[in-house]
Amino acid sequence: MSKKKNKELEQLQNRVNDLEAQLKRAVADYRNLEQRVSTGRSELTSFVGAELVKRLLPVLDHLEQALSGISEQEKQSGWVKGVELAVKEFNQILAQEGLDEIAADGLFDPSFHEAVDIQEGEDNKILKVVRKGYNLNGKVIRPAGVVVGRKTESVKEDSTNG
Amino acid sequence: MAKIVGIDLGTTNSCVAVMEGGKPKVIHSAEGENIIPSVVNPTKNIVGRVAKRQAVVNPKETIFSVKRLMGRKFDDPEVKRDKEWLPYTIKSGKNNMAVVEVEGHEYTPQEISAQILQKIKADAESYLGEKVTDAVITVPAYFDDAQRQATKQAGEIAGLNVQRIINEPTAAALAYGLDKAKAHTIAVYDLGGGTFDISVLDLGEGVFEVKATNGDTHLGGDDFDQVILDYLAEEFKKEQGIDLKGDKQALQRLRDAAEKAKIELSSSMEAAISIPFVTADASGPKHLEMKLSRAKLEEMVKPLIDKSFEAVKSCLKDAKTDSKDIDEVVLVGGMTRMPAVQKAVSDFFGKEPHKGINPDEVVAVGAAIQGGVLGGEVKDVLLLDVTPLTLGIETLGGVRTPLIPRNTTIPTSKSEVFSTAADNQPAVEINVLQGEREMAADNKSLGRFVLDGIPPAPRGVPQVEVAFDIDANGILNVSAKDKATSKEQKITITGSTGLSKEEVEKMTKEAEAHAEEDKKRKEEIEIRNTADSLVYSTERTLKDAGDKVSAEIRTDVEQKVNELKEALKSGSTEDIKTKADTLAESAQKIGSAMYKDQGTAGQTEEQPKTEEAPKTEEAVEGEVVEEENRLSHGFPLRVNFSLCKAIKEIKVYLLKSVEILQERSCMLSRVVQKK
Repeated sequence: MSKKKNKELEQLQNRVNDLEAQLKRAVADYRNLEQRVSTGRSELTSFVGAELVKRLLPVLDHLEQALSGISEQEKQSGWVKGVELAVKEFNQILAQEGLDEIAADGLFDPSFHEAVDIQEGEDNKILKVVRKGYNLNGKVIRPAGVVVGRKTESVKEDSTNG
Repeated sequence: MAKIVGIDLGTTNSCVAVMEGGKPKVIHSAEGENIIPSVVNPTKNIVGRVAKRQAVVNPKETIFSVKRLMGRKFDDPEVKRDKEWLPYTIKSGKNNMAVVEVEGHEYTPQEISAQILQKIKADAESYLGEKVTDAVITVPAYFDDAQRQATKQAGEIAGLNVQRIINEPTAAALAYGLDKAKAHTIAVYDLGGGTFDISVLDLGEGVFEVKATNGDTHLGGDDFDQVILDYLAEEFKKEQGIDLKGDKQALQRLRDAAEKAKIELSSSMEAAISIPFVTADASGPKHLEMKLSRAKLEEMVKPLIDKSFEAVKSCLKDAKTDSKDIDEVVLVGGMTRMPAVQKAVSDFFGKEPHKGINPDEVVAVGAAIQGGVLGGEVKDVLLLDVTPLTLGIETLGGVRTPLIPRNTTIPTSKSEVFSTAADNQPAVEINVLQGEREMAADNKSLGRFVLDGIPPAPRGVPQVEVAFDIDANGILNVSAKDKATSKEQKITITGSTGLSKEEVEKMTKEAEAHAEEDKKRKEEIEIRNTADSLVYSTERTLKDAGDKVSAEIRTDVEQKVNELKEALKSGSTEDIKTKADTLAESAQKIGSAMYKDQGTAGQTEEQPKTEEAPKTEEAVEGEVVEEENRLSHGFPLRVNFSLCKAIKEIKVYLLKSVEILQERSCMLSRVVQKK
């Protein structure tokens, strides 16, 4: 009889321990989640904003590309001026959202640049930017697409960069 | 005990997930993505997305697809085949194992994989805010002992205790909770970026056994992209006579556009592909602009899909089973988002495959669940229930006002304050509703009770707090309390969650089917309720204002009140709305007139500018705000309805009433219906 009681007691004890552990875990998970939500919220919203800005970037590229190809004569047109102003406005708004262009005039750095091609030239130097890169609030949302220099294609990688 | 993360160490991409609050959660990388490219530059110690970006510059140092070499001998036929197309150097290392050589250094596939795992570990640690020491890692079902051992070593090099190596198809089945079902046979169709795997699993005693596996190590999403790319390039050549394939940069843009079109065609029937300035010739810039229909895409990729089913057939043959003996089918890999692939799978097996979980993440999710089980975190007791349907009460006009929305995790509680719908209403009835429809009558009534003994008061004044509380067992307690008297009534409803799956589905479907008309009906009733309270408050205002209003205005307003009353009895919603708007405008006239009266009576600082009544709502609101700024004391919402003590107060009230009418009508629409 007392053996049976003991066993029951033990079972109950185990169950209490189990449940307590689970409860603690649940509460801990919740607290951690809360913390992460409060610190991560701004990060999260900026991720959401980044998605939209990212999708707008090609539009900006193409508008700029369109403007870059017009002749001196066409530049005098009021229509062209209007488009120029619109692009400027667009740029300003994106800048207000925290967008800034990534510099791409020195050495290639894959943290900011994406190599699209290599050409003969000074080793590891950016020779040409084919697509502008952008940071949004300090985070790369699109690396700059660049053509990178290489002395000759078969030359061994130099060790100046780390 | 520390968390055990689940890692899908993939050929093209990797993914990591962890159990959090009893549910798997995919951890995003430092770059903000849920998947990490399985790409490493070992000499520069660059991993993932960043490593991918420099692949063009350092093709011989950028190691990708290293999983293909894991635990394989150098003279393995697979290695020989891969050696042909992989741009980096593969050679024979210790024990004749395949290793990669970068800048004169030899790296085993384990070491390369360890770098990927290290990045995953670091990203998971920064997400969790604690050290990650233990992991479950998945491998393809066909991996032999040497390959599994190599994977385990990779984890150890990265500083992880590999608690278990599990099969990718098993992980996918776990993610869908198929281990809890009765013993059965499961097929897992995994079409990823570069490889295709089909596995047949047998579940017995809660353990999965791989019966057979097959696949194609060089069939995946990239092949689908290539087909589209070829088509686009061909069409462009026909149109413009320029071959884009010779231009590396144009080719890259074409590849991106092809992938984008493929993804778009999974949700729409036609994709517009536009690549401005794709190239240029003497005549100026050239743009690529074309349309691709889903039908055309499906026609083009059919050979690829068919190819996968050759492997499926041999797999079933090896498993000595037939397509109709498969109880469950699970889809894994990004390509299984394509409707044509899903259709081919469901046609072949004659049943709908499981596909609710993101196919890029499902393996990592399953691994995390396995990790949770090993860590003692996943136990059935922990599973919290949800309310399958919305719970609410009936309010004025037979409208259902929700308190606890569907799919809320229980236990939970929620309370809201309601009021009466008529003057001196002595009691309110609480009708507890369950369902998704907007109108009370269309929902299921779980029970009703009456709270009486409410002291006489104008409508909208008494405050009745209605509280819903569901405990962990799904028992619902509803109470209603008059805040003035603290008198309370309650009801206990059991089995509010105990609905069969079919019942819930039926009710949800019905709600979806009637969503439009329900919304319209609810809006109509809201308009009526608003108009009704407008009549009420205007009459009160007139009464309270006494002879402060000129007979002219009074007659005008009274007439409009009567018109609106008539409309409420018989008119259309449109009619009610128009008449209510007219009345609201005239009601302001009372205020303006009173205001003017007051102005001439003494105050000089604020001459009214409202000889004519404002025409638009904006104008009214603007005026009120200004007024508020000038007067220091706020307007009591439940102003003393007997004669106001000071004219000033009446003035404020009348002006402010326009603003609060809207507020009040909102509140009144929620008023508990008179018994």
